[in-house]
Amino acid sequence: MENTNASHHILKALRSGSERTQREVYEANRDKFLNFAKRYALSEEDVIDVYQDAYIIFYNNIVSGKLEVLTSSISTYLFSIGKNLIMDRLRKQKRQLKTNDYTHLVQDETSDLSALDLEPEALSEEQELLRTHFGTLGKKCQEILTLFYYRGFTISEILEFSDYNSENVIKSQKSRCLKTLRELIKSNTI
Amino acid sequence: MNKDDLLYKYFSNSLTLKETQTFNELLEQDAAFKAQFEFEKNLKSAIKETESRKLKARLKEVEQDLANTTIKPGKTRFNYQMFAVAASIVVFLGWFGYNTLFGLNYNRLYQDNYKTYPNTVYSITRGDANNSLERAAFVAYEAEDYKQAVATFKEIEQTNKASYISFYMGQTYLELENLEAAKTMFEKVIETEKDFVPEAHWYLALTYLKLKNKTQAKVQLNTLVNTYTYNKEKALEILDRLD
Repeated sequence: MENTNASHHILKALRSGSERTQREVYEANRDKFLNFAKRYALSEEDVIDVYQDAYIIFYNNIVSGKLEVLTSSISTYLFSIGKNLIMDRLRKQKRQLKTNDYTHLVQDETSDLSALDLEPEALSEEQELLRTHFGTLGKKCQEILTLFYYRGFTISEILEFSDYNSENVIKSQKSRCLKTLRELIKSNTI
Repeated sequence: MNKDDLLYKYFSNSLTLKETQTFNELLEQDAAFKAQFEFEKNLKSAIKETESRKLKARLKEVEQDLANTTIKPGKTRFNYQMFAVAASIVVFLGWFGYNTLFGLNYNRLYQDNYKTYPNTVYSITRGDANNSLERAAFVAYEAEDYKQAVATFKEIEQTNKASYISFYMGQTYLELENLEAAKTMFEKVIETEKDFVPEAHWYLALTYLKLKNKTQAKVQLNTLVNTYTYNKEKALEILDRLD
């Protein structure tokens, strides 16, 4: 569908972290999503919140490499992810659906959703602790670890992207950052 | 390959099949390795959450922006503004380009403004038994068979001197790019001082544009603007460009 050059460029730009593209794609699909979500008994505020969460999940699938090629339009992915989130929310609110659920129509269009993460990940206690301490690391550490663990950059890609001099410097910097993080956690637990 | 390299390759998705085997074996047998792996995996989730929260904050700002640039919440003024800006840039660049690089582009002005005048005088209904020449002429005109139309209009003209016949003949000549003949027809319409006079001024102006006669085009447009309301805006726009 959107599996054209244009969508290839969009994916590439999103994966590399372009905030401009992030915003453009968000805005381009916003009205469609709000319209799609109208059939559910959610307030507009909730729907926008869901749209943002769906967008983040979609985005994370691109960054993690789980979504490498679009086989449907971006909005179809957002609808499918959003539908799950809406169901969760409605279940929590113990409300009935306003009308029939038409979203199976949407799901049929998207063949490879099974490979994707559709839900936000709930952090374990340990992960939550890591998140807190990660935020106290120096900027350079946060950057290098984010590039490696989140964006999936290889060391040589990080070298291209940053102002480090060699791969070895990056490797030892990364090890040092991990060590610092360990120590921070140790000194703060128990 | 040492354990650090294996972990590195795992997180950059580049383990080979054989390395994956070694990796899995180590996970089962080497507690320290497993602990290190769990630590990094948890860190990955923690960073993902950190980035997700940052993105969420950014998206909230986007929503804030959207709410601020929109009169009624949630709708499209933003797009209109972008469109207006884009359109004015295109118009400006387009115009700037033509004027500076090529001088005035008469053909372009003509094409931008020329639209065949629809048949508004003779209603053709299906099964109409009237086989008059007039009907035949307008059928041809609507079918865009202008050669046939002009031949038939010529015959009608012998007996019917009404201004609308001249006007539609002028249209037909314009379509056929017989500009001198078109000019004569529109001038006839204007002389009658009856129907289609403002329209004739407009199309005469366009004819002059096509003939690259700026002075005469301006005369016609000025007459139109000063006396009539028909296509006044467009006429003013062209006058602006011609100056």
